Amino acid sequence: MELQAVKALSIEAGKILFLVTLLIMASALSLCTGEISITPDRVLFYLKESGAMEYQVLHNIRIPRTILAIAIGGSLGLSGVILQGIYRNPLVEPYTLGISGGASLGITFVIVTGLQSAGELTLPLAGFTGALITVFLVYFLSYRREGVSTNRMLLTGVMISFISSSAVMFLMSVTAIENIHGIVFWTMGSLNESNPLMVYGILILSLTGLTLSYLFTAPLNALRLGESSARSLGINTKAVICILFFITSLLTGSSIAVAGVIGFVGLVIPHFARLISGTDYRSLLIISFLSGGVFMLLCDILARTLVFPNELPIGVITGIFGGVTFISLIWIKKRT
Amino acid sequence: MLKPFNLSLSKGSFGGIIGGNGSGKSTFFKGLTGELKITGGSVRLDGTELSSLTLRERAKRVALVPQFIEKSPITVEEYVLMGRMPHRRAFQFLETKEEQEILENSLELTGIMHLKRCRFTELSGGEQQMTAIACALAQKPQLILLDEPTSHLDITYQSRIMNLLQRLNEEEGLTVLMIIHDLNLAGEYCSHISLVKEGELIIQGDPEEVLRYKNIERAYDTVVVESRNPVSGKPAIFQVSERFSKKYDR
Repeated sequence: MELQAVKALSIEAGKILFLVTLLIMASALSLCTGEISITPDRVLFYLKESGAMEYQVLHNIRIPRTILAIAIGGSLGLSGVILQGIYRNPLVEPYTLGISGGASLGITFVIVTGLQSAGELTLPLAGFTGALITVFLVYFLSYRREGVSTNRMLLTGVMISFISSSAVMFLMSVTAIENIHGIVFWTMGSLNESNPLMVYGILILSLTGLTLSYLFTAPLNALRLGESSARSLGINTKAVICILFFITSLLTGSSIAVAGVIGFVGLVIPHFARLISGTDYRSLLIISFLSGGVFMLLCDILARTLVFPNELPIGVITGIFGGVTFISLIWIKKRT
Repeated sequence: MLKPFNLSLSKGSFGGIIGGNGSGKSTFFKGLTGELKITGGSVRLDGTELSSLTLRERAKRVALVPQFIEKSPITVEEYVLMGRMPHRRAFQFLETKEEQEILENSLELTGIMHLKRCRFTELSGGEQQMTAIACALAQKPQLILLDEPTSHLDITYQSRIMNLLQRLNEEEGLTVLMIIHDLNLAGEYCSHISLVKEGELIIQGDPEEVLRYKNIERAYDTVVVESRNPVSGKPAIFQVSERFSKKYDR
């Protein structure tokens, strides 16, 4: 390998290492912060001290929450960067495709019909099913004999999103007042999930998503030149786009099913990641995943501490924090 | 929709496809690159049926320089290296030494070595076209297809690009096939021209045979006169404006 290539590779590895360090620091902060304060040097001690209350707090609340923040932030950041690459549109995010709308509709339906009491997995399963149905609807409504058009998919997604929102409003208007609270709380997002099956399931899914999408770095890089050029470089763009679309849909759908609607992560993180690493997907995918995790951890810490002892819905923090950051990014770009 | 036609181009030739807007030139190109499926007939390259090849195998033999190049903020180096994609092993994430050498060679041939680290979006239209050609060269194809490579460019870049393609054709033995709107550039550089109208091949052959006023007027529905380049002696076509065409008696 040329000396210049080795140098470039070391720089990218350095950026990834920096973000991993940041992720470890944010995770440590997440484990220490809360109603019961634990100093960083005591975390390892309490992790093994099964009789202490801190042990219960760490194992039942903070570790699941930290893992969930990393997995969901990573999944949404990764989905955003892939979708923006497929559509070559910096405004596309997982929710633009109607996945969030479908999941919201599934959850609302379960709450309104009272099916929620069937089991603790009913709610996330309903969200996941709603997201999955939307994905298939978007795909099949955009399908033509000559293949799937990305523009048609985008438009269909936006329309399905509108229809789902209207259906959610309709269900809210005909349901009992106590159900409305549950629906609103869920749509604002929360990382308060302690079921290990859900927590570790999401972590495994997000890491699998990262690994699978990494196998598509070459097609994603080629798509930067447009679909026509990518095809002339030997890439089966239709197949690649379909596979990537399903990976991102699964990542987003499962995230929404567990944590509710958490906006802006999939939109803002890819812009951040591109500022750090440029547009080469070989490092961009990893950097987006790590940045998403760090961002979500920091937002969760803020959500827990800003109005202590109460807790803010994480969607509120990511919305405000993400929105302000995005405007600042546009302003910085304009200045430079 | 193209009507059935036979177009044959011998190895090492410099072909041009001319014809009015919407005559089917780009559709024909899309069939060659695999972007559109050919429903009838066959396209053979060096005896191999192109539709029997995978996109990857096809890309190893045929390179395309598209008419509209997506403006992506990547460096010229990254862009040109993309040409090696069809030749890479599955899940090869890093460039090899051989690929670096091919990159240098392609940049050298196209004369854009000094732009290696520049972002594609910062380049002029002519430099972007040169980068796209360098990427196609990095593909090491048998046939290079160019969709209107000189449109929207000044005559400096028009000459640079056409001279470069001529050199590659003569010195490297690369077969060139391009869609071109400038009839005089086609006459000056191409060794074989195909004239298309409404999806139909009207005539093909050497420029002397094709660039005749009768053929051009039939294809373009406009009055022209034929002449010759005083220096090269190659055929040239001149348009006649409405004011003069009324008085013009052949």
